Amino acid sequence: MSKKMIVLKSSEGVSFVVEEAVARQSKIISFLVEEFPDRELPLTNMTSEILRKTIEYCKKHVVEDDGGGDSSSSSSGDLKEWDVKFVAEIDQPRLMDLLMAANYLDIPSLLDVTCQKVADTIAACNDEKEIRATFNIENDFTEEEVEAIRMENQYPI
Amino acid sequence: MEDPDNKKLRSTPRNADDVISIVMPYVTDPKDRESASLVNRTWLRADSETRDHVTMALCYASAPDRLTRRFPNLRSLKLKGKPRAAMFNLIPDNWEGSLPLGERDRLVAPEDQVGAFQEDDRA
Repeated sequence: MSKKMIVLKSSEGVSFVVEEAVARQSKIISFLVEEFPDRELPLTNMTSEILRKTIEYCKKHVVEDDGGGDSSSSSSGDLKEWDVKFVAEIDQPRLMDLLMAANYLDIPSLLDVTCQKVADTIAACNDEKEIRATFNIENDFTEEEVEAIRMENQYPI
Repeated sequence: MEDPDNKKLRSTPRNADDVISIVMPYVTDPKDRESASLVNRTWLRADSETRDHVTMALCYASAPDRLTRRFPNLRSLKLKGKPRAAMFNLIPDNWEGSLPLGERDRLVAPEDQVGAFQEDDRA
């Protein structure tokens, strides 16, 4: 029995042919597949590079339920390790893109690992200056505002 | 077919400001939250909107309206009531901070907003 395939199209117009079970990890795609069967799904806000990464993740995480006794080739521990490596290898701008893609496509586990990676990076910074430097962010506060927040920050422990 | 809006979107690199409202709930350490709130306005808003618990080391450290303005989604609040001075009988008997919690609610926030109170009288 051949597996059902669907076609996803990136913002550059590149088509990706993906097994339906793989793509269905996205709740949005899952919904769209049911609403518009046998149709190409355009993802205009996703570059080929990010779409490829997203598919790579979904392929790894697809639950193989047709493989007989051993349902999945990788244990959950291996999978966690794979996830950590997966996000560690992505540079920061692409990590942001991937996070937005996971958010847009509604892939909870991918959103979780990408958010956690960004949160860990924030936690590794010593103060707000280091956070700004790490993420290349402008400070738009006045000095008075910073002082007021600093004062307020003294009460939450 | 080239969509001009789409092109514009892609030419601006995405940065952490775009994702911080999604990421902030994953920043759990209060110390990290403190740094994050000082990054810029976008980060401050993300922190304020996603904080559901605050501990106040001293229950008069902030005015109630300031507290509820900065943290609109607050659901629990930990008040550290009695200052160390209490050990040396330096706090007057009628000091509001030593009122039972029920009577102190009005000092803090509307009842419907703060769901759970924790009281910690160890200074």
